[in-house]
Amino acid sequence: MRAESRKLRPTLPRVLIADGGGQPVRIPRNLMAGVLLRDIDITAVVRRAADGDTATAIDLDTVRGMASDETAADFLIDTLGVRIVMTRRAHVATHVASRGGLGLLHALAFDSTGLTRALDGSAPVPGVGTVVSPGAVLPHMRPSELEQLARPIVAYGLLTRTADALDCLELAECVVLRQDVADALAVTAHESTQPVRKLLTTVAAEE
Amino acid sequence: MFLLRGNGLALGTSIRRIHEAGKLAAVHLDLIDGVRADPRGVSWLARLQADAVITSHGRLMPVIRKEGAIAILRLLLSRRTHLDTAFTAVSRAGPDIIEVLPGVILPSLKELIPDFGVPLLAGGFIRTEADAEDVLAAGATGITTSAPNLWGMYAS
Repeated sequence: MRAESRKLRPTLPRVLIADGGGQPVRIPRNLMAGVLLRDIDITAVVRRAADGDTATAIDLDTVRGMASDETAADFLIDTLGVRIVMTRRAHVATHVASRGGLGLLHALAFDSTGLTRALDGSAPVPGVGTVVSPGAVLPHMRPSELEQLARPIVAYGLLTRTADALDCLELAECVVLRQDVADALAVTAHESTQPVRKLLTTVAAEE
Repeated sequence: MFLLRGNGLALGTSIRRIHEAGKLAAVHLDLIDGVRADPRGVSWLARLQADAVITSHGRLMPVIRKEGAIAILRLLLSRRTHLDTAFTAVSRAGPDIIEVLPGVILPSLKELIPDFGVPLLAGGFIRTEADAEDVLAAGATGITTSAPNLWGMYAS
């Protein structure tokens, strides 16, 4: 049946560990985590997929040699099986969503003036969420600003401490972390109380 | 005062009013309308008597100084992997002042940010006195904020 063949949108993990093609990423056992490819060559992305090493998500604008357009998004979804795509281009994020993936649109949040400009006039699109960059500002935003961000929200950038990551996870569905911070967070999860463990292992929102 | 918005081709009146109030006027070259972030745009703002020009373009620092204005480089922090490149670019540009954004997270980054040997301003999402004090304690010389409740914080 047609309805059965339709894929659900991909599930966003609570943590995406940034993978720039250097040291292989290790997913800590007690985190609900996936891999975000970024700052990597197009050939390395394809090689990874050919080796059966499918990434959870990709920061399309940072892939060297790949355009930030619909053709590239189709290639990621159809050929490489990566269905969560971050981009600065609204039309690409919308295209990913129209293909059943999850498009994540970057919102640069350097100051409130810039954030207001970035969010001006953007209507929410089903299947398109927001990447707040740098993610570390998320706990400093007003509730009214958070309400304007399309969900799911990913906090991405300058989360250098586990405390900051935990603060962001209270407000966002997902955080992007480097391997060292993810490892430290996993230790925190292991040693923490039930609410913190739940925060790190439960999907915050599913469509 | 930092002017971040407005018609860059008609800023003369605003700058004059700022001067009449005994303040200095810093204009954000990248954000105002009507003026291009290039050497001619810098010259235009200098003609309007801007005391300082703010931009993220490091190559314009010498141009701004040559025009007799204070050169403020806006340093946008987004990802840790970009920091080293950004810091090298700042050092090469040689600004008079650096404005770091988002300033509110400066306390969590202070160990990563080198001493550039020039005043460091912090701006972005600084809204409370506690935010301001934390940022100043983290090494900022001053803060930039659009929150009116903080404008008189150190006035006395």
